[in-house]
Amino acid sequence: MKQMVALATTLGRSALLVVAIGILVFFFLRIVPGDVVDVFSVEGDLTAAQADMMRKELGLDAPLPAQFAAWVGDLLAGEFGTSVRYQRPVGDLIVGAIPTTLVVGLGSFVFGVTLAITLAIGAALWPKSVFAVMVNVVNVWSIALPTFCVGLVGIIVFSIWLGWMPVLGNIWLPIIVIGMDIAGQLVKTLHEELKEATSSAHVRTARAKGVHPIRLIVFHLLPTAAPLALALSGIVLSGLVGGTLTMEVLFGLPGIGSLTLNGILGRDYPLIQATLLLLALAVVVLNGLTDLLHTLIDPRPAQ
Amino acid sequence: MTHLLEISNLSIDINGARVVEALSLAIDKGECLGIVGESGSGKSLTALAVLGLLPLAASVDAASAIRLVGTDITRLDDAAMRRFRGARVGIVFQDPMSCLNPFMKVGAQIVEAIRTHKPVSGADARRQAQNLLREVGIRDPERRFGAFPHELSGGQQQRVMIAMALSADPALLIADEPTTALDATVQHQILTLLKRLRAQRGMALMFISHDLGVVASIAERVAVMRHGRLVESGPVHDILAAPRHPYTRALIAARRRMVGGRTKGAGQAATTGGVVVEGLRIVYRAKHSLGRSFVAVDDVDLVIEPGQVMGLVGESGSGKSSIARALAGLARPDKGRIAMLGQEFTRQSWQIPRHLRGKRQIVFQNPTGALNPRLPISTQLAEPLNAIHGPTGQERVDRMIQLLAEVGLDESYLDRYPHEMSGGQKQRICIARALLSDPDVLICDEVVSSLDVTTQLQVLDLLASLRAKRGFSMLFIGHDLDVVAAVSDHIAVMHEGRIIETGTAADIIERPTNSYTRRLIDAMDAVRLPQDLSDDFHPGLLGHIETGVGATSFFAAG
Repeated sequence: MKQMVALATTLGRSALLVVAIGILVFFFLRIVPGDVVDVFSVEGDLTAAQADMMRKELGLDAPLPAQFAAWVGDLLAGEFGTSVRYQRPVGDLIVGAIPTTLVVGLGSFVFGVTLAITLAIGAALWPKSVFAVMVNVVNVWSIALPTFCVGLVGIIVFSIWLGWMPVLGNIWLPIIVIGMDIAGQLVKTLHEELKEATSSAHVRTARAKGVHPIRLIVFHLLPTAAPLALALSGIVLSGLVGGTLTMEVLFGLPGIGSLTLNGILGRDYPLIQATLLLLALAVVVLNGLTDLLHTLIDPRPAQ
Repeated sequence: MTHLLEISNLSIDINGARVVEALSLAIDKGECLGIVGESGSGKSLTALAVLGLLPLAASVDAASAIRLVGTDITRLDDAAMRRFRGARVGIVFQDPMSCLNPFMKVGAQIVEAIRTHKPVSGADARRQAQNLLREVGIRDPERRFGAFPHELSGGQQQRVMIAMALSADPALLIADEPTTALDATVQHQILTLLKRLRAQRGMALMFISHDLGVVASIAERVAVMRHGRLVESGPVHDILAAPRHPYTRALIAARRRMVGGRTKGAGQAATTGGVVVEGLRIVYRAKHSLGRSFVAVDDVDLVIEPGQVMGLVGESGSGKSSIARALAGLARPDKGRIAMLGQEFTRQSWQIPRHLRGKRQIVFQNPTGALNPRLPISTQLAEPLNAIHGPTGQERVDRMIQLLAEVGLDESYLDRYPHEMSGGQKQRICIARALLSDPDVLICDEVVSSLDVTTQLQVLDLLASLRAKRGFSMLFIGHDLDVVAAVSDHIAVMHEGRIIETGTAADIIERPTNSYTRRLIDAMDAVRLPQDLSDDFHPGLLGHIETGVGATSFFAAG
């Protein structure tokens, strides 16, 4: 019962957050000078009269509150509107872009987290091994090297010099580049946590029982680091939602990131509003999920 | 005949420093050996060495041998050692809460121990685990089997630890301070349980403790350790009756002198130091609306006469520290009133006005935690003087030096940092800091609980003499009835947030009326040293010990 109420509270708070973000996105977009008609005017030499007519057609001449009401009305009816640039329903565009982002995002997340946990455990168990060196290498790597930079070098080396993979539409290189970045963000903290866990009293108890090292890692060490790993993963995943953008653009992948960027460049309000709202929703849902998972992993009552 | 466990010439180094030196001990089948020593004496490291579980930084000297049923385990690799751990030797540590895996149900943890050493099915292991839980006195083992550690009380957790240690029927059980983190009545139960299990299973027991009384109540032979060396060993009765080594003698004397026979400096010239507490209720509200609020203290009346010491005894969670916090202006009373320092504190006005704050001071349990590790002592001592806009310049320095002298330290301590001092010295600094603002009321919350026995005695003596000189009144909180009785004029016994009995210290000890108080006293009696032995304590011994403590401050922190 208590958990149900807590869940309802979390859900309510999340919903409120999404609504607030929606409002901010809508009005902030209008504060930025220039709209989609201005972009067309520059690109296609529209006359003032043509521009005015186009604004009227798109409803951009209406007062802001009325525009907002229209957008909310559409949303409630399940409509995201039509992209002005692509001349296609925004919903279709998003559905088309999601798989790419999902593959790149989840792929790099799984790769990064696996790498980080492996290195952190290895370094905690064998402090003088190559694992300990790699923990620092990967950590410094992610701090010092921005993903777009590594991505560019990767393209030059693997696609142009070695010719192993195409430049555009390549999905492996971005996964590895982002994955390394994620691993670097996680590995140091995880390592510290695990190092502490190896000398904790309950791990000592397990060793005193004569438990096999593999059992020791899986049942006694890893659960200790799990809450922290989860909290960090939540942050990383939330960052990832927008973080695949540079890689998508660099490798010409048709994901949510490229879609949003094109929308922004073209001042395509319906498209930007929809993608940003989607990103916000994803972040909120991910945060909620990590909180929920935490209560499932750690049986102790929250402090 | 070979011994069950034979430690010969064991030396252990940690980062090049020798912490156990040429130690030789033996335990026979079914025998109970007690090892007594203060923090840093190397007794726990010896236990860990027997299991091959020394920390990475530690190394065992090549000349050492630890023979367990004939096999020298110092020569074994980890895989071979695993067949001994749990199977031949089980261990129970201090602080069961942190020794159990918080993410795993206790039943699963016992089953894991069973299946590590016995080829049994899951269902069989489960049945065996439940039998073990029953054997260690856990009621309703079928239900407790599925409990997480945090759902059990401290005593139950320690019983689970014992069940786990017994799961592969070891010939030797090591108990390393198994009752230290537990309340007095629970300590009594666990000791009784260990005695019973030993008798039923014919198992040998290595019982490690800093408390000579506890060891004497369970062991047949005792080994006294100090600074990593074996000081003295022999049958318990011989050691108690005729200790040969001066350290053993001091240990026995300190323990015995704590129980009565102490001069309590009566307060003089105190007029404003009285405290009256009436109908005090303290409630800790839950952080969010869904949690349950917790009534820590309920309907408590307490009167501390000016210049008197009121002792407050109770087990953990009984609400004693909450009363201390309310008197210190750190917790808000929900109901009732506190009258002290000529003011009245209630729910509406509970915070102590700035100009009065120096007039009541508090000293906490853990001096290491109460001192900032990054500030020199002079800066930390200056803080209460800053708060009350006290003297500055040379006058301030003089005042600090004078107080250091009063607590038995010289002015060289002003430039020291906390890590350069022993636990007892740090607690002296904390007391000096509390007294700098010349308080009328001093609150001492478990101030000697984290100190070694001989150091405890020194700090208690110090508090008594300071009180005689300065005449402040004192609330002295403790869980050890002997310690509290040694310094208090009156004692109040707390249980579950209420005061269940008050009286003079002598009345409470000798004529307790409440059944809970009686249980508390019985538990203390069970681990008390026999009093019929001659008390050849002389103060010179303590000075001798103090010099030694500084050298072990590295471990005293732990």
